[in-house]
Amino acid sequence: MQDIQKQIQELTAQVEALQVEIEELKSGDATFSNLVCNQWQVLDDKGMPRFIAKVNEWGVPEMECVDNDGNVRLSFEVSKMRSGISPTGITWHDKSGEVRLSLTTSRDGDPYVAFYDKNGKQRIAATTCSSYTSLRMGDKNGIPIICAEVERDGTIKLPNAKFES
Amino acid sequence: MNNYQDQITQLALVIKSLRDEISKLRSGQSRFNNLNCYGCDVVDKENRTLISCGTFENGEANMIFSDKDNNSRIILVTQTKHDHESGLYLLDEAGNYRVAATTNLSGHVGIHLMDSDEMDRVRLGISSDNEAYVNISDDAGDIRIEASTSDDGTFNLPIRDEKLV
Repeated sequence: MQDIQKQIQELTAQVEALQVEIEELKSGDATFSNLVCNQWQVLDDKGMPRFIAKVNEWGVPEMECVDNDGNVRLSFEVSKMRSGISPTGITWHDKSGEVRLSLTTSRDGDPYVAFYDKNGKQRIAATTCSSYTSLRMGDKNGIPIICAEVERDGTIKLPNAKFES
Repeated sequence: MNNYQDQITQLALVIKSLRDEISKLRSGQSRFNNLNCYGCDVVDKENRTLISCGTFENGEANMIFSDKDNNSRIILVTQTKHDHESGLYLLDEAGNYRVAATTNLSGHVGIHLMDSDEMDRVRLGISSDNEAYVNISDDAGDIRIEASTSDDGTFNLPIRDEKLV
């Protein structure tokens, strides 16, 4: 009989300890050495996801930072696996969803940085690839006005430049 | 006696239920109000870690996005060993750094585009002397086009023109 009572006491203590552990876990006071999940969201006080890291339906890891109005303002994507041509990198968006700055690498790994105005026109773009390095600056219609290229051997090309004698 | 056995059975069931709840909490399938962890991995259906973030004993914190072949493609890092630099790096499939957007303790902020040998080919940014600059280099690492505006308003646009086309 004493053994059974002792067993019940032990089990009751175990239940209490587990309940404490659950409370600690739920409160966030617990520290995890490493947390593995399929999606990770940080919510604001209204319950809206503001920070979302997940593996999407194409198996692509992506992360989005969302502003107070629910607009995605910053997106990260590794898109090597997608069948399209979408590069790997980071894109900054304005409130209307227009891309304003993208910092990416192509499928071959070539880096590309581009600045866009609020009308979606590309104003500054720079890249370097296996054969050349280029800088292009466009007007308000996105047409390149200043173009400069440096080839791998150091040859400079300024196709749009006008020189005064 | 039966009463005790019922009690033990009940407690065993409660313990199983609590353990299941803890397991669910630790798996990350539950919602936390606040979560403290040293690291967090986001995995795909095949349990490959595609997004990983964590902190290290040296004070560094990072977040790494990987492709399906386990190549790191996007790295966000604060306080690296070198110059306490914080930044964002994009890598190609071979593991070469191709884009670096960084700030350091001396106040420099810059974006570097690198070729497949990790040589800087395009650099743009603002130096610790508050000079805004754009540099384009050739394959040998020599700067061929550089443009800068200093803090006092002077500007500089020398072109190494021996191979100007």
